[in-house]
Amino acid sequence: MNTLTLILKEILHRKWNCLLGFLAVVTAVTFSVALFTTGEASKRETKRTLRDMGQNLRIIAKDTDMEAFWDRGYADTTMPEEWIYQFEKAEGLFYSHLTATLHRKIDWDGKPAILSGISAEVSPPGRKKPSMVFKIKPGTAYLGYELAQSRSLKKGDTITLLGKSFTVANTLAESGTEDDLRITTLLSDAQSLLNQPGKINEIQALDCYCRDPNRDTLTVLREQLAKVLPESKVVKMQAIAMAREKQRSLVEDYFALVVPLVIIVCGIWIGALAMLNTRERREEIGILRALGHGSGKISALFLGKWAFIGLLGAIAGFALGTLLALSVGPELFKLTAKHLKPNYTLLIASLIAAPAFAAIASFIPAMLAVTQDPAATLRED
Amino acid sequence: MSFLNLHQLTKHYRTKGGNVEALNSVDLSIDAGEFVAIQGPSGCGKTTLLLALGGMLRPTSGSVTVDDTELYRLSSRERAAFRANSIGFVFQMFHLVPYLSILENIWLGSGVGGNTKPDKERAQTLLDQLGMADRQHHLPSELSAGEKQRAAVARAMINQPKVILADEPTGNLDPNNASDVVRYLQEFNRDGGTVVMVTHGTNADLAANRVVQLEKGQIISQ
Repeated sequence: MNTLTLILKEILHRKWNCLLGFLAVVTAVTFSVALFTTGEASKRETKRTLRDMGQNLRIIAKDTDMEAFWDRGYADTTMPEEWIYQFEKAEGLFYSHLTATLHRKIDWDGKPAILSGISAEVSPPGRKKPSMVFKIKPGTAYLGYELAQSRSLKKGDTITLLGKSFTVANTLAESGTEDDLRITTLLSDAQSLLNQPGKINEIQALDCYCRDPNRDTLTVLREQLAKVLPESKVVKMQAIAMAREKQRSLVEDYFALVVPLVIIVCGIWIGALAMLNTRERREEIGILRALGHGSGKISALFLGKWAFIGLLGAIAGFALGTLLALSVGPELFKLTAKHLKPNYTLLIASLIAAPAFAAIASFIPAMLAVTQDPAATLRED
Repeated sequence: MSFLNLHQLTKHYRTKGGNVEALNSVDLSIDAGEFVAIQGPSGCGKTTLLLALGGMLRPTSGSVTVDDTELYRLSSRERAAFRANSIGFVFQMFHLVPYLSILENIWLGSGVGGNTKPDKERAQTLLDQLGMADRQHHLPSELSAGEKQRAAVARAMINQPKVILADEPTGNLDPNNASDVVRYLQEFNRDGGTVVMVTHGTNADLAANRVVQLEKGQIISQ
């Protein structure tokens, strides 16, 4: 009778032992697959957030009063709009989009507001990326949440800004930041309203990074700007980026601790079950020995059984772990929810690792079975 | 030289209470075709002697020769192969594999040792001969003690061994079943096989050609 038939018959006979072992493998695989799948999403989400928050560089005039800049949230000094095209000459840098902006605090019907003019995006030479921000038509304005709420304004309404009429292109959702008090128009409209033709007070470089991965983006940018825009300086929202990166790093550290811990616990669980199974089968081992079956057959019966359970557990664990990641992941990682998908590399890894893991966990009991003195059992008659 | 030879066979067990001398310089020769009963009180070393004879228990000293092969000079793999091809075991507790049907239990013993192929037909023939053809697909848990022991006898015979070593094969059986089992062993013996049977001194030994008395690890009569 071949070894696989014996293994299958034994599994069907001792269902509970096998079921508990199967659950241990499923737990280990499910946990690992779910964490790795959502971990990947976490990385993507952080990259996305870093791109949107951390790696966005703000280029302002060199003589900007930085205390006022941080206090107001924008530079008080202006610079020529053409500077944005100088940025294209910077070497060793990659960016997706450039935008010129002009911001000012204004009084709108006796209440404070921030007027922000935004230019059309400038893509790098030879490349056209989709717009990262909404396109603004001349004569239209987007209103921050508070402004719209306090004035009961909605899309399509007409407003008057500093003596000029604008159509409300849309009202924005509540952000919980100063954006709730922002009126966003096309740059040329804002320049006209503020009587600052051809002037901007900030260039935003989005998705900006250094082509040389060994160099810091900000350092390279500062070197390049010194050449092409000597009258400017650059600010990076590093604190937010670092905080986000630190958060991701903490989550990774947590995963790095929890995954091995779960695997170890499951391994001990399987080892204990295998030990019980070995004790339960002492008589069987004795008679197999008496019938002339060798150590190879005995060890194959035990290790093969757990490897087989590991294989089944890998399939079930992958399915369960993926299901868990796909159902919980979108709640956790809203930005990259659509990128959460089954990772079939993990399936292959599970199919290899789980049987090996189960066999290793049951190795000591299997070796005890092999080295068990059959006479000791048979003598107990 | 006899078919089975034990020479100065000694076996000590180490226990928490100290060394236990299970066999002490035992000399025994059994010819091919003999039916030998080994008797003695509990703990006198009968089972130890039988297991040593079957290559299952390495003695502390002395030698065991079966059919001109000194068992404990063989590697464990060679000894397992020798056991599979030449020796059949029957135990008091049957020791059937609980998750295999009776037919599979008998068949389990065939095709082991490298010299034979699994022989399902012979397993079925043996079940027929032992009057258990209708029970071949039953699990051991579904059989009576007598049926289990008959299956164990069939398993011992599957590879047509030269010798059957039976350790109190009737110990758990009622008189009818006990006499059936002894009869099967006698038939094996009549066909030229050698039988060594350990008994507690019941009527089973009446079937034997020779009775060996063991006491405190030594043969006191044979």
